[in-house]
Amino acid sequence: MELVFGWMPFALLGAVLVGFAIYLIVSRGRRRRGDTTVLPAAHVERLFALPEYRRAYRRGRVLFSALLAVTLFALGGLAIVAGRPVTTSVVKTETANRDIVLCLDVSGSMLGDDAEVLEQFRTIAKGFNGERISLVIWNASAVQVFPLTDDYSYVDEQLETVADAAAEADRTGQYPDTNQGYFDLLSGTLLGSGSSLIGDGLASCVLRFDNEDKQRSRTVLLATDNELYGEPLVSLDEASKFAQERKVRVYALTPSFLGISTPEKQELEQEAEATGGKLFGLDDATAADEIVKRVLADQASKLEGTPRLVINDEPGVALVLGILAVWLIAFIGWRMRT
Amino acid sequence: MASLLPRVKSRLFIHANRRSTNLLDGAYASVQVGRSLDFDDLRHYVPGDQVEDIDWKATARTGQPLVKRYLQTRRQDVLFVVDTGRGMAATAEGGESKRDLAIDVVGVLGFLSLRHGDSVGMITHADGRVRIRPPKSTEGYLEAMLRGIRDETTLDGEQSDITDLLGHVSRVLRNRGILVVVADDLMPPDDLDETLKALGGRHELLWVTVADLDLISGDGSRRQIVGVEDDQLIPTIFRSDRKLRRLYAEAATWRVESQETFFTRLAVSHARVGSIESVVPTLLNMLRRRARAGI
Repeated sequence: MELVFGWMPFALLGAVLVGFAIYLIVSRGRRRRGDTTVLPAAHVERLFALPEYRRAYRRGRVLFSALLAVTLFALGGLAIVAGRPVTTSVVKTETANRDIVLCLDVSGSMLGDDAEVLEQFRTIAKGFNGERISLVIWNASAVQVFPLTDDYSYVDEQLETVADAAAEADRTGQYPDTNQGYFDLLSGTLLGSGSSLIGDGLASCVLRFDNEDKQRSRTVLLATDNELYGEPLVSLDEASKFAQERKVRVYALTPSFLGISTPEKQELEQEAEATGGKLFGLDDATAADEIVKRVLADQASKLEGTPRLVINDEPGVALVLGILAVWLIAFIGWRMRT
Repeated sequence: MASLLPRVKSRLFIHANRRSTNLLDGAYASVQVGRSLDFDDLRHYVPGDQVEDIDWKATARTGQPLVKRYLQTRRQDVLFVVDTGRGMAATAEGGESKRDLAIDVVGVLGFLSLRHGDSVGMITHADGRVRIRPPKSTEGYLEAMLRGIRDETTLDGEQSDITDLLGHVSRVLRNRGILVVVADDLMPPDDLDETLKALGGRHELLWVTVADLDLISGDGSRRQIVGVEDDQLIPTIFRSDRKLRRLYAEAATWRVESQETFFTRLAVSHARVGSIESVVPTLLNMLRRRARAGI
């Protein structure tokens, strides 16, 4: 908390002192006996000697001191308000410098696990603040469900929609009926030769990042079992190199009911680590936290936005106290008159 | 410089014309019997009477020596003892200056005395000294006295001490006369008692109190009241305190009654004037009372 116009309280203090001095001069003049604005009277001690006068005098003095105290209080409060109290904080824009693409395999082999993956995605998305998130689903070809955005309520809503469809697929064992309102997991994802084309999927996800000329932190969260059926245009190895080229880090999430040491998963782990990422099992309870932590920690050191000074006006407390004090002055003034 | 006496006279006539202007004659009629041109009555000769006072014709008619008695036409000296202290420069009950009331009191009584053929004099405290203006019987002299009161009574003046002044009077005033004290609204101090008794034995005493301003009500305006003694201000807020107002009024009533009791006990004619308008009626009333009841 600091004051923009730091001189204001001093100016007010000066004004009060000057006003008081003027009052003293004027009242000294007024109190002189010869002044025609006052009535000279003899034997005033007859009034002063009354016990009731002394009582009223004490009461008046208490009221007056209260008035004085409250007035000073009000002046103080209003001086602070007049000085424009602000809080300044340094805001770093680093948080806005991360992009994360959630890259979800919706092939038949993953159908039973996608609901769980999406829940993980939702958990991970909640761990971010300011980062832009996008969701891409792919099978033989990739479809962007939503582009990079930091509108988290929208992100969560979309993830939930897809998760509902995935949960229904898990329950029925087949792609859900879009006529019942479920998200269409098939639309646009089957345009290649085969299915579950991992390399194509990853490469598509890597291509989702915009502003390539800007230095941003870019992460792909690849959820796949790495079980390839068909002829991909790009192999996983090539896609991984492509990611490295573009300085995109790949974290992989994989179903782990068969363990994560199958050849496919070892390959996945290898490629993920080649980009600086890591492989996590879906049953790994710490996976979400770990991914969030890694994304934030790792990239904070890399990119720090220009610190920006943010000034917030905060007249609140002083203003309220000042106004209350003014009310109190009016009340005491009224008491003194009656 | 405006004359003070004509103003007083005009005010006096407005009131006095309603009744006989001779009201005052009975007020302090001489009780002295002496030698003058005014024949009073005859009495038997006693040894020691002056031979030339014997009324020979009456003696011849009655066969007994009779002497003429005459009313003594003795010129009375009316001495005004006027308080010109700082307290008299303050505001009177009616809102006027107490000094102006004092001028009116001296003017009215002085003028009536002059018309009666008496001389007027004045004794005041001025600049820390007692100033005596010996009795003379001209209106010009009375006017000078009134101006004296006006000029001597200032807010910067000294506090008055009426007892001291009266003590001085009792020392210097040898001839029997009439004393008119024009005083501040004071609670009679203890030592005043003795002084007044001493003076009352030798002189006629009239006491006129000039009433103080009501310290709570003021003069009706909202002007602040400042004590003349040491410039103490009476804060305006106290003037609206109802309880204080009531208690002050009670105290004021008690003071007026105490004054009345005090002067009645000493058989001193007392009048209390609060405003210019009330001066003449109050004084005439006092004089009437004196003529009738002697006090």
